Amino acid sequence: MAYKIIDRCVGCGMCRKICPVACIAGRPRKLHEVDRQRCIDCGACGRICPHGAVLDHLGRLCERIRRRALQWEKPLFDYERCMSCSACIDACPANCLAVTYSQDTQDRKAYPYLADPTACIACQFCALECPVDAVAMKAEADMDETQKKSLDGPFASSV
Amino acid sequence: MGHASMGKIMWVDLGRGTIKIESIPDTLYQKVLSGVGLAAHLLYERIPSGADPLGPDNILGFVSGLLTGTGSLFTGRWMVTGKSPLTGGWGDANCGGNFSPAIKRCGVDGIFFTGISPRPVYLWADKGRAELRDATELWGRDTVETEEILKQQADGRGLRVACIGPAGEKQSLIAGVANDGGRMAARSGLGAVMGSKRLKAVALSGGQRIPVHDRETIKTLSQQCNEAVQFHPPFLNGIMMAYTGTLMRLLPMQMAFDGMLYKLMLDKYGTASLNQIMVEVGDTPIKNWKGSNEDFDRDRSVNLSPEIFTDTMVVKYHCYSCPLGCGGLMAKNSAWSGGHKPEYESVMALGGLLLNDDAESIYTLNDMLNRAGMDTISAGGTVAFAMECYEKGLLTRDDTGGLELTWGNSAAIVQLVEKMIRREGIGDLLADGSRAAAGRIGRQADRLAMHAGGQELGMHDGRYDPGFALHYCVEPTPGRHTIGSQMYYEMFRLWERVPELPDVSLVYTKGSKYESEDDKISAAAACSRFMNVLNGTGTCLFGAFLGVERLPLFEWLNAATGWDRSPADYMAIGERIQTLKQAFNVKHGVDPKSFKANPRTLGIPPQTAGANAGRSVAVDAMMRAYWQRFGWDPATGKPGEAVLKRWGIKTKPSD
Ligand code: SF4
Ligand code: SF4
Ligand code: SF4
Repeated sequence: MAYKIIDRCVGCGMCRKICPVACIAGRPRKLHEVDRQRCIDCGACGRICPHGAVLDHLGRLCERIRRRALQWEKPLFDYERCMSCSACIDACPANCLAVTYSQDTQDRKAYPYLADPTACIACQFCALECPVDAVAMKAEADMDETQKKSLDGPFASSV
Repeated sequence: MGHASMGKIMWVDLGRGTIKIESIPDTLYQKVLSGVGLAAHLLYERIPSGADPLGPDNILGFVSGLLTGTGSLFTGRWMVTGKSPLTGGWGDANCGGNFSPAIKRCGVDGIFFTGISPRPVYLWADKGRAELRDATELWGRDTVETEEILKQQADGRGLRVACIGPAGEKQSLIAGVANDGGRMAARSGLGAVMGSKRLKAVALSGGQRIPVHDRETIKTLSQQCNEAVQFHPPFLNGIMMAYTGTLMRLLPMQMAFDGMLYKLMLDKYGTASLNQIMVEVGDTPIKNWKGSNEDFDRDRSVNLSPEIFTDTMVVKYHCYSCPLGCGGLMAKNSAWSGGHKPEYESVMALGGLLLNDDAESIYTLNDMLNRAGMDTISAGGTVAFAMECYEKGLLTRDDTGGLELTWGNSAAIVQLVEKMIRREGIGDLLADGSRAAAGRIGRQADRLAMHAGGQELGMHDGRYDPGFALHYCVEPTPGRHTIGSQMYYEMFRLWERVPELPDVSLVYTKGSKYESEDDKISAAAACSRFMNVLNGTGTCLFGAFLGVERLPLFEWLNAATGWDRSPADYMAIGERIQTLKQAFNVKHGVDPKSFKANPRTLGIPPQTAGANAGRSVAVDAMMRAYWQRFGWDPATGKPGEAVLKRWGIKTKPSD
């Protein structure tokens, strides 16, 4: 498996900076290279590369997705379904999820939420690994107001 | 490469400061699973016989489980393994939190340490790299602080830490290894081994994926399992449970225990749900095992009621991949800075066992011990021993440095435990557990030490459930309450998947519990085998209490690995692991017969009052029958060459 950078690479370094496991090496303006042993197939390099220079784990050319235009997908949690098992938090290679809970001792549930939205690389691993499918991925640009608010966790709207 | 496992392990030579990776073939996982099985296989072959547990030849292993990170539930447990300095034989201890997946996310199923470092170090593994770092600054710090400091250095990234506190550093033989804010892999004294190696911590932050064969099937199974867990009918409160316990004691009949009931108790109160009910039925040992529920009646145990320990809980604490969440994080209170809710075992080892009903002192003690990295059960058991020595005049006020070690004297208990943690005065005498202390005191003090093979017994009384007595005496890790009992067997419901195993009757007379029958031996052997499968897969005992129809362990295993094995095949692997651990003990010169627990705990002589009055456990016959069930020599408990060969275990492991 593993992703691969082809010679269209101009050495801009965007992939190297975003790779959550730091497995891309390369000097500025030189061809970059993926350490195939350590690549986790998260796809972030392929989504970010402005020059169409990344092949995915099946050898297909990755399509750039506009991050600034909020086209990258982010996790939306179904808190009714969620069983607080924290598998999503552990699955996240960017460590951008955390739990939150209310100080109200009647509600003793721990809720996962996107604590560091700018770090999210849209890899979907959280959704993939959630055993009860309580995570749905959606591009922020396509979210309605309630969904956007819910990104800040279950208690954000009540503040 | 196979699925569910990472196919590799890491070796760290602390003497030389080198790190290397070893590949593990899928065929080995098929023989011994991962987790405890993998560790038992490697350590049996590679720790030389006669190795000093606190010397360079001992190997300390941190292992995850085969099912950890596969999308299965209740599979976030990890184990620390090695030769135990407390028992002299096989040692392991189990813990939850988030450390188990962290091992696999570093691309390995286990991390094994050899040698002794010239100076304090910790292992740092991050983004596919691993190195030893200087731990001089961390040495002397408690477990919670150590973890916080390392996490700050990691700059908010998902670092997971297992570490020792001052007790492990001082090589107290009852020291454990802590993770996730003072949760403890407590038993077997492996914190002392970590201290002897000058290894302060293992700090992991990896991002590797964990390969699975059939994620969709796993998810379907997990969702079915979760439905059982999320069943929440209205439920009894603590005092009603205490009266239920009284009623259960008075009835001549016993009902087979269904794990669904325990699930409801755990869900609401965690293990603290047992605090009063188990005293009432006679399961909780009282006053160094010589007292009974009459010495610690409802009016006293109510001070340690489940509510006392849950009312200030802020949020439930779930280990990785757990849908139940029996833990809890608590608000600060006057005695305590907050943190994990005290567990039943800790509450009773520091409570009923010492006739102490002062909840504040138990919060304090629990926090002190978790921070120091010392086993609460062994600490409580050792204090109980010291109190009885004091009562009998084997220890005097001069010996105790002025402490009045009378039953229930909570202030003195706190001071004594402080001394044990610091190894000060009498604390130094007691810091290695009750057996070592009895040896130093002499004058037959061992009669007052309630241990099996050096390990203080768990807070479940074999005179109430003789299954506990048998497992305390017969396991390669003696004194352990987390492997089997008659009640556990009832809850596991293994006969639903392994038809050869005996079913249990729904209602039976209490007297029948104490008869050594063939079915009971089959049940005990099945518990041991099953527990090895659980510990090879990283599965939580409390999940297993749901019963195998609700916890689809065997089905998860096939879906995660892509193997096509029957439950009986997996149970056979459990038997191989049990034999490996016993062979480890024999290799290291441990006489299995010497693990027989203190006769008092077996009802020899029987008690004259309380729930267990008149009861004794014919454990010798049961031990022989159990050994025979594994094909080991019933007279000595040793596995012979034929049985080792049958399981593919080397009969002459290197030296
Ligand atoms: S796919 Fe992810 S892990 Fe692999 S090189 Fe690209 S960014 Fe790094
Ligand atoms: S998609 Fe999920 S797992 Fe991936 S980076 Fe974002 S939050 Fe983390
Ligand atoms: S993995 Fe799913 S069930 Fe578990 S905490 Fe995350 S969203 Fe909730």
